[in-house]
Amino acid sequence: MREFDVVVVGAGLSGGLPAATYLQKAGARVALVEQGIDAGRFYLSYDLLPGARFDHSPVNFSGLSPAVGDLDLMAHGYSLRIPEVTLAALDDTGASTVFYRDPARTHAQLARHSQADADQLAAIFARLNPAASRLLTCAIYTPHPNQAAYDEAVDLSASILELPRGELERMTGVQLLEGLFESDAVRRFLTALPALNLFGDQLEPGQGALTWLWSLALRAAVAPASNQSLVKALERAFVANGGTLVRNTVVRELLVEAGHCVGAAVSPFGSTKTETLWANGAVISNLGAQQTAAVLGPHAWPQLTEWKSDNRVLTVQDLVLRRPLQLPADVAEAPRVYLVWETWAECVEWLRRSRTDELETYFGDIELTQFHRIYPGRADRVALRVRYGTGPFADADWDARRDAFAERMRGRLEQLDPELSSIVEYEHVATPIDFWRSNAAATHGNPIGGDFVGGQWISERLPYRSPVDRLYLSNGVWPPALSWLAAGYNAATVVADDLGIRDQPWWRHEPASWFAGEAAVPSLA
Amino acid sequence: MSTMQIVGDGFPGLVRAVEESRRGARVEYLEPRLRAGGAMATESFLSPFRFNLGPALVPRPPLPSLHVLEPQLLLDVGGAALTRAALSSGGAPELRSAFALFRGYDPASPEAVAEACAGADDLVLVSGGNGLAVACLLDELVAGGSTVVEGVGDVDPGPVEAEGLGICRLFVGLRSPVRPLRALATAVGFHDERSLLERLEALRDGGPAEPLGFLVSNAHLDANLVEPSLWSCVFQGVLPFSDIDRREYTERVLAALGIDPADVIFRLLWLPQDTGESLMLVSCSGSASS
Repeated sequence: MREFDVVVVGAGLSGGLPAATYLQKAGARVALVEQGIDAGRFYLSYDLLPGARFDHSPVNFSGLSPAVGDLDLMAHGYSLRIPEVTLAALDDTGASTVFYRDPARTHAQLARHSQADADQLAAIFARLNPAASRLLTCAIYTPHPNQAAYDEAVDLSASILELPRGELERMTGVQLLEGLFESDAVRRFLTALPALNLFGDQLEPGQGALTWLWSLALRAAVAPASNQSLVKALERAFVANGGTLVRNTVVRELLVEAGHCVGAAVSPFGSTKTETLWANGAVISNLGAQQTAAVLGPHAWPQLTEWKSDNRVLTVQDLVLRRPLQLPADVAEAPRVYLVWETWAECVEWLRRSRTDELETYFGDIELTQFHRIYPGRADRVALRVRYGTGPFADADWDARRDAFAERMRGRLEQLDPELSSIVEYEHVATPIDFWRSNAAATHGNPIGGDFVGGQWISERLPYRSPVDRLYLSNGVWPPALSWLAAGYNAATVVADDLGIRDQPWWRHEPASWFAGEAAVPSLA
Repeated sequence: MSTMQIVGDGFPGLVRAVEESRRGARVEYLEPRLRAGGAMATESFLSPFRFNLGPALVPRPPLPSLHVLEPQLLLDVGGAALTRAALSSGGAPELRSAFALFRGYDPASPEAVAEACAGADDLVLVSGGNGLAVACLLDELVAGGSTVVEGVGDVDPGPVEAEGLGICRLFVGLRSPVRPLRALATAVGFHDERSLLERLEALRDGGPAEPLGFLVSNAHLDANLVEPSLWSCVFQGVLPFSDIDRREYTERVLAALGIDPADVIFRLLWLPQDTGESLMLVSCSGSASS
């Protein structure tokens, strides 16, 4: 039996880990319970073969999080840099657009398709950049529901897009892009990245348009020492401040006495012996709705037990190649390449179908991550990640589909590089059910995990404070795939407010301040 | 408080850093590789399973609070069992060469066999994986005021240049168990000392790369899997440091283990040039060397 101020169950990168680290630094005595050896499982890196390094999640927008400054992560090994080439989109006809760190180069790329569209995007960025920090604060780094913050986020967005607020709140992402850009190609290439995270939610009125803009506020970056340096920096900040990281331990029950959540019963890996971790102030669950309900038992409330998700899922195909995939010269430089639809009509149809269970939809929007562009290693051992979505919930048929999907996807890549089959040294396909098998909190097979869900806008998310006194939830941020430690930041904010420890001199950084201070993006020439 | 810098050097380097920290020094621990701890690594890759990248049976880590297991039945060689007690008491001489191979020593060398079997009493399995010992030691370092940064070196220095025989590992994840394993490791491709040494000699002479080694239980890493039917294992084998067709060798091993490929949801073969482990001989000083 051990006693703490706060017990956090589940050390996910976005929720539990930053929540625990914030609260420990704020002076609470925190225990962070994690079933795995390491925290942040879905953000770890691995060498599939020596020289072929992969990240579980091949994106890194963490530089926009206020946690980088608040928690002094750079002192704990966090590092980040913005590559000169951020991403590229390519269609079957060979048409492409490359997005660069330098806005002038991106402008030139878009101008090949439409001068007016290139000017339009530059103008949007010119209005977005100075407002990005405030926009992210109101939209993401605020414990919602918060009507005032939401209103401000929408007002800012309308101003950036130079649209009446009422009109913006009725627009889908598709309508917004059709209104802003005349070129079919520009619309498609600007949909490629958000489509893989948000899928058909871009067709939701208001939500679709706003989320498209908010995703533009992100800045892609890479971590030279691997993405997991973010996880490790958070772990070490937590431990260095005196936090107790209970690794390799499973939560059996959240304890509720007289209406208050008072702790957690936990068991070491592989053991049925339980220990009680008492929490005098708060318990934060980062287990997602379904798992939280399971460990709460009769104390779970209807909204939690009835929580439904229609979240779409991803399949991941890791390839180790003997040389890089053959791609058009400018596209080949990009760490991430999106293989997209040939026409805007196909793109819109794909967004619509992504809300169904049609397996064919998987092959519409494909993300390639060329890890050798991020982690240069051996020339004869090239790490290539292929991700694609969407599809049905992680049903038991995925094991049978695995080989068929792999073959189909290889066929798609052979259109780019006919010699593919002769350069594959190793291949592994992780299907949605494998993600669920890795972590039952990833109920819907998404490596992001938790109870994240499409079609449920900010105000309908599970709140951070729960009906059980002293029990908090740390996974309720929209847009889910773009939260970057926000779920934990918000949960920590709420708990710190309730414990009276929120007012800290170090807890004052603004979102995107790292980019402003450490990695300033060149302004458009 | 004095400050000292330690750069990597595998698990011994990490232990040294912790010992310095316990003596009151502040350590800056820099790890060139992705993870500290060298061969004491546990990895899931992109699978639901945990695999130790190095040996399963390791010297007891210097962490009294760590939960470790002391398996009594170590080897099953053609139905003959090598127990921990027999090994400690000098018994079962005919199985000692097999145990040497299991520990990565050259069974054709009497000195290596003696070295491999000495101190077997202190060999343990780390419940949850060898990487847990590393993570806990790193926590202790950081909690004591030291700093740790991993991944500061190149992704990989390049292919391992070696000759002779080395250790390969095939990591396998299944959606149903193969069969109950009565020992920590079951011999594959040989059934006694003679057949082991003959097969090893054939490999040295450039014979076909048939599976030779052990099916190693992963039961101490499979607890708490979401589906109880999920099951994993490691085939630890011997191969020359040369180009081997990964797919073909993997299929041979799975066939030798009686595994239906349809049940396999994860497979990954590390050849000797990936593990970097040569069969160990004994150096003049008595310590193992490659």
